Amino acid sequence: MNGDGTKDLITGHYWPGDIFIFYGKSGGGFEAMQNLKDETGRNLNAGGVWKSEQDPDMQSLAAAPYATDFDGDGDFDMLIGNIVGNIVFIENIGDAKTPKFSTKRTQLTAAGAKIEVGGGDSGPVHVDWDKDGKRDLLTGAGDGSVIFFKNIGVETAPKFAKGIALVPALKNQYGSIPVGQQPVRAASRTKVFVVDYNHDGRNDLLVGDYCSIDRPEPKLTPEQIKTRDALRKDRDAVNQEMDKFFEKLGSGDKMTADEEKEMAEISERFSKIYEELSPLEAGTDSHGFVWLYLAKDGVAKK
Amino acid sequence: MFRSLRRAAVTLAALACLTAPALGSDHFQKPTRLRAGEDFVDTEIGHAAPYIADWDGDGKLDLLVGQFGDGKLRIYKNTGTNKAPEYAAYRYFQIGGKDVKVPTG
Repeated sequence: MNGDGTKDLITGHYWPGDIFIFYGKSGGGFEAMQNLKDETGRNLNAGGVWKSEQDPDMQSLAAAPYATDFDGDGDFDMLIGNIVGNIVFIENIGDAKTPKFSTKRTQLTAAGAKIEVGGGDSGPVHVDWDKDGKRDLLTGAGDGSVIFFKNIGVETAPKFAKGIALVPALKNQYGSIPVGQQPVRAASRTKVFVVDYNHDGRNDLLVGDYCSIDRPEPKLTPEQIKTRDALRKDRDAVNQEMDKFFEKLGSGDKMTADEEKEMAEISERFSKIYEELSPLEAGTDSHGFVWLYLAKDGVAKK
Repeated sequence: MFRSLRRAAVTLAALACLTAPALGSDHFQKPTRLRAGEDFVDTEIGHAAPYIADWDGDGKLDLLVGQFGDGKLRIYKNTGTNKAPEYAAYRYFQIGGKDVKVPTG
């Protein structure tokens, strides 16, 4: 990002969706995480200024950034996917040594319409998928698809054709897997990476996902059943406590330090109960697999 | 964080979708899940976000996977070759001997 010859690492996060950077150090390793800023010094994200903590600009949430020289002027610009499923372009109006991100946000379009992938949660990559010498746009999506937007413009002024699903959307919303079955494809909230994984000259896909798999009711000893029932009572009590807490909180703008502390304390107790209770009852586990979609041998190499 | 997640769940449910045409060709082989040793690569609270790079500078491409749980980044060292990668057990991305955590919000 700063042209010092070391690799840096960028990441987004969920809320409010700021973009962070870990600058690489010359001797190896990374500096501590810091916010990237826009030209006015505001933390960089894909959204506008929020009216209040309770009224977020959805554009900034669940940020999935990709640093790339999008306009071909020699520095890293930012493409950011979000919870809505759009792809937001923020130009670096500085240079390769001193990044300076514009306050202007541009929604990328495909075939004249704003990109908005199914189920939201876009995460763009800017690579030459079809090897025609121009970088295209690919993104995962909340619905489990991977969409390819072919660049039908030029390399330094991309223009994208209507999206094509390289991986189709899921038939059931979250790709949930019933008890006793195993997933056979990437589930929801896909995040994509393009690489010729087997070095055969064809682009392949790595697809990360969010997959929930149901867990059967376990066989328990009478002793375990007692423990389970006690834990369930505890869980219900903490749930009620949490409901009361949120009720009390109302729609106030910011939590006080005491409220933050109280919430952390309740959350911690909830997590602990949940951890002990889960193995003792049927439920659903969250997984995040990485799927390899290898191009077939018959696919043209170009 | 709970408040944020609740709020987002409500708004997310209200959002519109776009459907893209299917590829209509059989471009890919049957997908497989990457493994590290015997185990599947499987991140905490899901939301795996993969990336391939030579992390440790040994000339072999390693696998990096971001996860939702604690906002941590897993590094799976490639102990095979570039053409046929094999991954060792992961370790988390660290700075100064501590796991790096990106806050949820």
